[in-house]
Amino acid sequence: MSNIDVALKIVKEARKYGAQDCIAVIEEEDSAEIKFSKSKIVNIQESKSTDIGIFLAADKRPVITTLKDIKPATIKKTIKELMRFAKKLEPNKDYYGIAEGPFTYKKNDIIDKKLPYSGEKCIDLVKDGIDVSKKEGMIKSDGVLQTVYKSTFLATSGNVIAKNDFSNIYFSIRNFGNKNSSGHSVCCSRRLKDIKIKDTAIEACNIAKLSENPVEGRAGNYDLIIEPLAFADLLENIGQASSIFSVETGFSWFTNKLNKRVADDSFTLYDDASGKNAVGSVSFDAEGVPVIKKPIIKNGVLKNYLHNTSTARKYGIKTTANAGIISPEPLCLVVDKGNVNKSSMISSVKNGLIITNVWYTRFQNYASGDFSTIPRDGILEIKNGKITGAVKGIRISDNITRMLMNISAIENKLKWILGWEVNIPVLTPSVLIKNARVTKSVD
Amino acid sequence: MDYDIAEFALKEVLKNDAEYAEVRLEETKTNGFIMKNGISQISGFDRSRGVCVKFLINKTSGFLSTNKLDKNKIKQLIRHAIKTTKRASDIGEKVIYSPEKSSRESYSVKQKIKLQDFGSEKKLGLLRDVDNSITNSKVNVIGRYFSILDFETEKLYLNSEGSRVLAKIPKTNFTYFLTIKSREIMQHYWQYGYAGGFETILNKNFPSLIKKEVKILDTVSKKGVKAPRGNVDLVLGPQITGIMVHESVGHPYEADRILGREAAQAGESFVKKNMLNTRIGSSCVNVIDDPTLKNGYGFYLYDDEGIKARQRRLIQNGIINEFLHNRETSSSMGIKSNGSARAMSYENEAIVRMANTYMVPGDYKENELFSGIKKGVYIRSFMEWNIDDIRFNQKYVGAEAYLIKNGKIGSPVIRPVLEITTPKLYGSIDAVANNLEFHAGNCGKGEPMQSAPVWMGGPSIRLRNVSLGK
Repeated sequence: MSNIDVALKIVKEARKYGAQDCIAVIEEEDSAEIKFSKSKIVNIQESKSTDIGIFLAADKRPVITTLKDIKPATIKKTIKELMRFAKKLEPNKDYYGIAEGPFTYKKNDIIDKKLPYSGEKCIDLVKDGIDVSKKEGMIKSDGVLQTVYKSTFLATSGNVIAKNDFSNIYFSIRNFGNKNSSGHSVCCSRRLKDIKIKDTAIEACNIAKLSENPVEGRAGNYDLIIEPLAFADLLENIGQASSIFSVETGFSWFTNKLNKRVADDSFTLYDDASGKNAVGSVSFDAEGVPVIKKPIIKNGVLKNYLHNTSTARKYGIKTTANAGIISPEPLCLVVDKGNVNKSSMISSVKNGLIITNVWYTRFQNYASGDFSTIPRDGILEIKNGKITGAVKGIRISDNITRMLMNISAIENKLKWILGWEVNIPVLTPSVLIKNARVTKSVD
Repeated sequence: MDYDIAEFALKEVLKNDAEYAEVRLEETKTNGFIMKNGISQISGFDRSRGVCVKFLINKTSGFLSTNKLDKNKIKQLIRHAIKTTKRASDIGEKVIYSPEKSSRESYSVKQKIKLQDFGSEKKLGLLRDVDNSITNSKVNVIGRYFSILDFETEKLYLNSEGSRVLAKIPKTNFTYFLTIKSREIMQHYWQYGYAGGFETILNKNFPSLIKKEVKILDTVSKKGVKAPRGNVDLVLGPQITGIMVHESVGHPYEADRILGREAAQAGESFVKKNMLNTRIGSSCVNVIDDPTLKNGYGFYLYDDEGIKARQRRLIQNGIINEFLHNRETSSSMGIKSNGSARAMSYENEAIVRMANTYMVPGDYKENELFSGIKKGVYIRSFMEWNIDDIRFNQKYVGAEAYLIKNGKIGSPVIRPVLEITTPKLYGSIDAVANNLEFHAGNCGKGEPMQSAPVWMGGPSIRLRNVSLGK
C-alpha cells in the first residue's frame, strides 16, 4: 500500500467505528547532523523514521495517537482502542470539527532529493566553514550542519488528500576570537547547493572581530539595533502569542487587542508559509488546508489571531490555515522589510548597542508582555553614530509591546533564520528599537 | 520489545569495523490530558519505539537512530553511517572513553498505583476537581490551564564491552498555568514530576494545593507593595533555591561545557578545570546531584553509557568538589565517569546531564532565617528567570514574595527582581534551613535540543546584603 492509501485506510476505519472526524498523517523523514566543536567534528548523527499520527473526534471528543506500523490488524486495533479511549472522555465544548475539502494546492516547492545521500558532501561543507574561520584568525569554531528531507502524506474525513515534500539544510557556526570575543551566524536553504557556508562563517568571524576585548556593560536605556538572529527569537515568541490557544490560555499579551495598536506603524508581521520556494514554505497545515499569507500585525495593528478550523468556527470566522493538532501555531514568520540600510541605522544612533544574538527569553507576565532576554556573542557599542567597542554581561529587561512600539527603523534587507530556540522559520530584517531597557547583575 | 533487534544492531556495527559500539532499544508509552478554562481539550496516547547505535570508528564518534525496526533497514543505516563517519575522521575529534567495569543489571521502579490502572476518567476527574477547587475559590482566575502526563520507558542498553542493562521507569507530571486578575494580573506556571506510579500525583492533593496557590496570588495582587531596591537581606524559598542550583551549579559543573563541547548553543562554563577544590560559596553551601533519589523526576540507576549511577557532591562546604561526567569527559580529565550520560530518547546521543540537583538542607527552621533580618524580602516562588551561557549572570523575578521587617513577615511584595552573579550569590548565603523540597523541570541542552526531566530542590536559604533591582 502507498502511504496515501494507508492514510485513507485509517480514515475509513475510523469512520467505520463511529468517528465523525479523522485526520491521518504519515511522515517519512531522513535527517542528519554533523556537530563540530573546537574546530573538529565531534559527532555524526543520522536518522530515518516513519511516524503515523491519527487524530479523531467522536461526539466532540478529540483524541490523538500514533501507530507503530501499517499492518491492517494494527490499524484496526489502534482505531478501536482510540474510540474506546474517546468514549471515556468528557466532550470538548470548544470542538467544532475539521476542514472540509477537497482543496487544490500550489505546485510543490523545490526540494533537494539527493539530501539523504549527501553526508560526505556535508562533511566537506563543514570543513569549508571551519577552514575559512581559521584563515580569518578564529581560535575555534563550534556549530552544526543539519539536513532534513521529509515527505508528508495526509488524508482526512473532510475529503482531503494531500502530499508535501520538504527539504532543509541548516548551518550554524559560533566563532571564537582570541580576545574574549565570539560571533554567531546561521543560514538555511531548501537545497544543499544554495547553502552559504563560507559567507555565514565569515559573518560570524566579523562579529567576533568587532567584539574583541568586551568591557562590562552598564545598566540603562539604549537604542538597540537588533539583528535578525536575535530578533527572530523575539518574533517566534510574538508568533506563538498570536495563536488563539495562547490567547485563551493566558500565554499572550494580545488578549483583547485585535484591531488595536501593538507596534509602531512601520512594523508588519505575516504568517506566510505560502512563499514560492521559500525556506519555510509548505503546502498545507495539519488539517490539510492550503496555507495562506495573512498579517498578524499590519502597520502596527494586530490583525489576526492564528486559527484552525475548530477555533475559527468557535469565533464565527474562517480558519487562517494554522492548524496544529493540539493548537493553532505559526508556520513561517515574515517581517516586511523597511527602507534603511544598516550603516544609516548605525549612524542615526547616539547611544546604543547592536545585539547580534540572544538566548533564554523568559516572560514574567505573558499578559503584560514583561520579559527579559540575554544578549550573547557580539554586543557592539554605538556612540554618536559609530561602533566604538563591545560590551558583555547585560540583559534586555523590558516589555514586548513597548519595544515593538519603539521600533524607529527597519532594515531594507531580510535574512532567513532558524536556530536553537527558533523552531519556526523566520524571515526578518534588523530593527532599531529606541530607548530599550538594559539591566545587569550586581556583584 | 524485540531484544533481538538490539543484539543484531550491536553485532552488525562491530562487523563493520567499529572499535566500540553501544545500542539502546527503547519503547515509551505516553498518556496525556489537557484542561483549559474548565473544558477538557484534546487527549491522547502514544507508543513510540526505536533503536539507536553509537559507535567509534577511527576514534571518531558516529550515531544513528531509527524507528524502522527491520534488520535489513538497520543494516543499511549502519553501513551508511559508518561510511560517513569514516569520511569525517580526518577532522574528527579523537574520542577516548574512560575504562569502566561492564554492568549487567535489570531494574524497574515500583508503582503503588500503576499508570495503566489509573484510567482516563480518573485523570480527567482529577483535572476537573482541580478546576472546581479554583472556580469555587472566589478568586477571579481568568486563565486556567492544567495537564496530566504519564509515560513509561522501557530501555535496553548494550555495549561492546559486555554491558547489558534493562530498565523500566514510569514517570508522572502535573503542570499548571494560572492567570489571576484582581488589582493587577498575576500569572504562575509550575510543574510537578516524579518517577513512580500514580500515587505520586495523588499524594500531592492538587485540588487543595492549587486552590491555596490562587488565593496567595490574589493576595499578592491585591495587597502587594512595591519591591524595595538596593541592598537587603533575602530569604529564598525552596522553589528558588532549586532553580538556582540547577542553573548556576549543575549546568556550569557539566564537564562537557567546561571542555567546550556544547559551546555552539547550550554554552560553556565560567568554571574551569583548575577551579576544582577552590571556594565558590560560603561554608554552609553543599550541593548534590543524585540520580538515585527515590521518585526523582530525573531518576535512574544506570546511565545511558551503562555506568552505575551514584550521588555527585558538586559543592562541599562551599568548595567546588566534583563535576558531572560521561566516559568521554572523565577520560579527558583522567578519572572515572560518575554516570551522568543521559539521552532523552533513542533519537538522541547521550550527553552530560543533571538528574536530581539540590542544595543540602541545614539545621535551621525556616522561620529562624527571618529572625536576624531588620529589612529584607522573602521570595517564595518565581515566574521569570534566565542565566547567561557561561552560567555567571542570573535573574529571578519573584511571584509570591513578602517584606521582612524586624524578623517578621510583612506585606506581600510585587515582583522583586534579583539579578546577581554566581560567586556573589553563593558567597552571600549565611544560613540554610531544613525544609527540603523538590520541584520538577525540563532541562534543555544538546543539538538537536533534548529536554530532560529533572528535579531541582533545596530548602529555604538566607542571603545577606544583596541588591534587588527593578
